[in-house]
Amino acid sequence: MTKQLSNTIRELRFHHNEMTQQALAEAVGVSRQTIVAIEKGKYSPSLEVAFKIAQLFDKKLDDVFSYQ
Amino acid sequence: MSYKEMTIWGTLVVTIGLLSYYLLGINSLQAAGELNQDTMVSYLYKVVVVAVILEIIMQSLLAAIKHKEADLGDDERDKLIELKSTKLGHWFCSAIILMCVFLTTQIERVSGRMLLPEVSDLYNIMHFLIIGFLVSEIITIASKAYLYRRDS
Repeated sequence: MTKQLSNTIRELRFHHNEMTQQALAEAVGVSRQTIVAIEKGKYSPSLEVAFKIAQLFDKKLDDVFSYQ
Repeated sequence: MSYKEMTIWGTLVVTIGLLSYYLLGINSLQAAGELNQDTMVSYLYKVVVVAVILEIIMQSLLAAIKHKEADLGDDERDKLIELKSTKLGHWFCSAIILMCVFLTTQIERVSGRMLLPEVSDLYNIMHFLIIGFLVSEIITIASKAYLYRRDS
């Protein structure tokens, strides 16, 4: 069975006062379309962007992203 | 639709339009019996000027409509999509160049039997290269459009 990268970004945004995709994109330095693609699991971000997202939500990397 | 996607679709339309404009122009010159090396070169210059003007108009219009997004640079996903689609276009372009090299080695066999018998073999190969270049551009842009749509 092939493993897939999944994430909890949508949930984390919700718990951060419904942070918009645009606000998250600006905070980590990518476009809103890239955040959309990451959230849907259609694009795997670089380690740098993944760490930036995790740090922004004050979480560990594997609390945000999982590979299963 | 994002600024990037709008630019890609705009460029795709302009490039397909240019290829059609070039082919129709050469075809009408041929049909009118006016095709020779001079008319072909001057028509080619005309196509280049039209291409530059259309691209400037399109980019300016899109930048005016989406001025906020126009200032943003490429992020990592944009660069990855650019890389994948350029690679695809590059393969096609390489194949066309190899075909031209092969044609050149067989020039004595194919001489006078190429697409445009009114002009020299060299101009026929140039015609083939121009078409190949524009088609490889269309492949590059179309694959970019597909990759952006697929991930959105």
